[in-house]
Amino acid sequence: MLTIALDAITTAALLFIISSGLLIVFGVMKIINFAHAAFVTVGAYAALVGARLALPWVLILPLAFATGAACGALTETTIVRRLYRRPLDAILATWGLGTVIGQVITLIFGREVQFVQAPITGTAYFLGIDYSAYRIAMIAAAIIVAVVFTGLLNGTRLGLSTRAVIMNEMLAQGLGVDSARVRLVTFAIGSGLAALSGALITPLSSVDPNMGLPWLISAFMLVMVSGGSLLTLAVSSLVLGGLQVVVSTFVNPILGGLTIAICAAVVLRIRPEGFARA
Amino acid sequence: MTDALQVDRLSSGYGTSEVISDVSFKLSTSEVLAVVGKNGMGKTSLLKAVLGFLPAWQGSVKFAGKDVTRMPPHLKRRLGLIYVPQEHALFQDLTIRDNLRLGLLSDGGFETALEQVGQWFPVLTQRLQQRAGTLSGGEQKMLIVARALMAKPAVLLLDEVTEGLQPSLVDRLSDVLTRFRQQIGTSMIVIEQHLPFALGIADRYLVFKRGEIVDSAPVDREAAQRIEAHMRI
Amino acid sequence: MPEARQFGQTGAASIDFSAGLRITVLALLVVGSIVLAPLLLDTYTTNILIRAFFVAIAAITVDIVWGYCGTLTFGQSAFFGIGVYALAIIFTEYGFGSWQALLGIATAIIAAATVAALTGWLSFYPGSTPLYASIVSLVVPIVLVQILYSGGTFTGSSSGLVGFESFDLEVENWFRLAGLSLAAVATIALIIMRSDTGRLLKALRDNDERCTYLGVDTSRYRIIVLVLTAIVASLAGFGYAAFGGVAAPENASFTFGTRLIIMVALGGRGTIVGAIVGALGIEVASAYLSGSLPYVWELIIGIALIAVILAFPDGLVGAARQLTRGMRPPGRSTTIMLRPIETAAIGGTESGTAIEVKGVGKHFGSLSVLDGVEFTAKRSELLSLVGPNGAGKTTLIRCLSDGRERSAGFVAIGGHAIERLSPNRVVQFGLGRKFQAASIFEALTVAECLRVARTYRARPSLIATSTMLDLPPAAISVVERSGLSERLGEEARHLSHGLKQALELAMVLSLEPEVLLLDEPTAGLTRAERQAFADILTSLTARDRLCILLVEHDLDFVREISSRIIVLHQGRIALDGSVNEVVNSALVREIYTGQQSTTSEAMP
Repeated sequence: MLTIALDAITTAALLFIISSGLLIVFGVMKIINFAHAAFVTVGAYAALVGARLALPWVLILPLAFATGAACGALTETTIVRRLYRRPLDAILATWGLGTVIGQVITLIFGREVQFVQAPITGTAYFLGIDYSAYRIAMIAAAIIVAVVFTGLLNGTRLGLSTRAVIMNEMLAQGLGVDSARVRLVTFAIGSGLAALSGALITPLSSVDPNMGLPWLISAFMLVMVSGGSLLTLAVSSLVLGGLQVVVSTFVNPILGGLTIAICAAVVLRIRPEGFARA
Repeated sequence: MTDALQVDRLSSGYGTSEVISDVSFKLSTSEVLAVVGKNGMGKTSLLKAVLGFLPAWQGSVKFAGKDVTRMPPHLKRRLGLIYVPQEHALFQDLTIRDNLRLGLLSDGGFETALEQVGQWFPVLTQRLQQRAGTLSGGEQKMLIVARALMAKPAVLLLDEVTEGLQPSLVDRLSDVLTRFRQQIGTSMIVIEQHLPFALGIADRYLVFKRGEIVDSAPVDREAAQRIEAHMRI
Repeated sequence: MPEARQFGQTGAASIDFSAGLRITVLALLVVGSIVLAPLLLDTYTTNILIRAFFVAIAAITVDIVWGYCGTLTFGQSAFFGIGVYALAIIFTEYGFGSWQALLGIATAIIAAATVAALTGWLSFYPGSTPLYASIVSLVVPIVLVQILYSGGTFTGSSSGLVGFESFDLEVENWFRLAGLSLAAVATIALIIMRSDTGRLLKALRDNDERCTYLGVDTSRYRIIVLVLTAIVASLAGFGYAAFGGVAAPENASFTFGTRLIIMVALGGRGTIVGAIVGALGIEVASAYLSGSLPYVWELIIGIALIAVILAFPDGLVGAARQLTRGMRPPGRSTTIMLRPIETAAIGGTESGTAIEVKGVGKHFGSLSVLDGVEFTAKRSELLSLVGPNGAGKTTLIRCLSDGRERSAGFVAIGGHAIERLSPNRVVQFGLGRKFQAASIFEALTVAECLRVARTYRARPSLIATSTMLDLPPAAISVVERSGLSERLGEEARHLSHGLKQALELAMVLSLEPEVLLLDEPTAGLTRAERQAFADILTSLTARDRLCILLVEHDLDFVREISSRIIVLHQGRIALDGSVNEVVNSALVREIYTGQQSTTSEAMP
């Protein structure tokens, strides 16, 4: 029973990290980045490379983040910036980019499934049971991400500018905020977060060029349900992620994979603006 | 001495609809210009065009002699061109403190500026952690003005700043603005429906009608009458 | 019989004949090529093309939903997959025979229609966004594929179904069947999309709000389109599986769905022909290239998609049309005749109450935008609503036209309470709303805009483009006086601001409204245009006995034409009286010029 609860929490943690990047991008730029999944994959492969070079994980994680951030910055300047007024086309273009990245990765690394060794192996004695130590570390990672993010957003000047742009871009510009730069930085950080989560997933599952895809839909739906608030995202990740684990365990793993998508679609039908102000 | 602001034959609009036609005027350092006219005549659009929120189809805007017509709004702010919009001028979900922080370009010097704000409008500094959206209309206006003044503007553009303010507050605002202009040399463009306030601080006035300037003169004793003739229902 | 007035270019008779001839020749060429091609092509190519033809049919349905209706749908593949599996499952379970085939077709149709109806209900409702509809369209194929994976031997799980007996046709005849089916679907699609109904779909895509305020239930149209295209896609899938003898989950996946979108995007969205070009091009190229350069081909497609979206949003066909634009005569040469309809004898009593407002309020949390607004207005009244910025005028207009908008109070239009009805229903009570920024259909011609405006009153044809447009005299009057009658064939986006305003007014008048709400209609008009407008409004109240409620800032204009003025201030009615009363009122002068008032309601 406790195992299931912990599974739920670790799934939620992972979902949160993946979705938070998408949330920030959506909040500032009002578009959904369909290449997000590809950035997750990029981060995973960055971790693969790092592991092959026998780098310590303390280095691998920032390396993955940086790779993702660089890709994101490039994407924003070349593609997204020009599709500011065409949000549906932006979705399509980023989807195209996603396939391009997937193909490039396949060309470089091949199509086979690869594996990365976890930095922390074995189990730990946690709350009375033996549970995968790495998974517990993931919960810690999610909390750290949430804290750092919230700190950045609420404590720094850049965070204030970002919040201002999210709320009212024109007013922010009138107050001297370079909204173009905010968008660029936001997209880069969001992509970096995606890559970071990709790196974190690698020890838990395998690495292949399409691994990011299943997460994309769930992250999507969570972002829409959260209506723009990090806190609501955390809660939604817990609730829906937990539901996913429960359904997977007790009913059917395939149905479990669909839980988030279906629940979120129905929820949004009833309450289109999500739950930020509930 | 170069003018603080020089607008030459500016035309602008939305889509295919021209809202300002061939507008020219000058604003000297320390000068206050009142822009009056009935609603919907293009006064706000004029400010937006000067700032760059509306594209300049024709003409130019010069700030202290420098051509800023195509400069994006956030850079104009950095030069000292401060805008107090009529609507959506506050971040409702941010605290008073955060709203004020955005008045300066960085957090350096914020505490000192905050002291000044406390002298003008003590009610604001007493409730720094309160969300701006929960303030009354008049308090929100005070916050907007305080934020604008913190930036020590070279040119201040005020759009209907007295809307919804009670008379005592309007007087206080008048004082604060006058002192600013004496001490720092801030020039101002004041769009106003409230004639006594506008004429009380302005050196000159422009009457705006349908996107064009139809009258322009110094403020004197007959000014109010002349303006009212234009605005007569 | 009212005399029909003819506008537009003449010489219609000769143009029709040559167009008819061209079409016949084209049809013969296409049919001929399809029938003869298998004799010239090798088996490999023939096989590829047969599959490509079925995929192209699915691509056409994607173009209709995306290119014409404006919903970016990743989910048409789900319907294709339903057709595929309907056939495969029934032939696997029950063997092959005529009743099995009929059952298969029936299942394909019914299952697709049901899923589409459900998807449509989920995606299209008043207030839904295109983004949400896209997301739902993404979820549907994913759910379907997961269901297929968990279907055990019934669905073949991840391996799919294979080896079932199917129709025994020679490859050449399969080619003809598939090719002619594609030609048939393409022809029908082209006919419908070029008809008045097709224009309506484009109008839905361009400006959903305007359609709603023309009395059109946009959600219902979108759902119907989705269901019909789903059936067609499903039958295409049926054919695909019938030929190929294989059913695989990939056929229903959202990867395939995005593939269809890419085909339409590259070929050219909103043209039908573009979907065919894109589908055939990519299917054939994939077959030949993905063998020799597997990953590079996918890479090329991805890059092509990005390039097309950034630089050539109209795709191949669109770009081709741009190039040949110079070679074709400008404008669309159609003759449109406007015919004034006999409007029914003005119904209702002489003193019919057109607008009734009681205790209406609108709050956002603790912020009160409107409070205790109460007034009535009769037919033939021209009532102006004035007040300073932020007084709540546009909010009041919204509360009158959209039953869901107000927080409190009662509103009735033409004697009918609007309760919580959405705007398309309120319009049907006889309300017309003209927006502040001219809300028209930029991509349609003037005549097409007017035709769409008549949708609620006169159902649009599914196959034809009207050459005769029945409009109420008031609308014709506006069209003639503004000079729009000379420009019926011009695209609305090229009109000047004043003409766009006139067009919108004519469109709203085409509804034959009893009540007209106008929001700052003279903004941006020249003096001459304003005068013309004033004349039009006056005759609308006098001759057509409309009740007009006008929001205006230009008090001179208001004074000239109103019979009554309501002054709104801070969300409340400050004064409601005749022109003289209001013009001479001290209170009003105070509100507008901000003179000090002893009874100031200013907030502390």
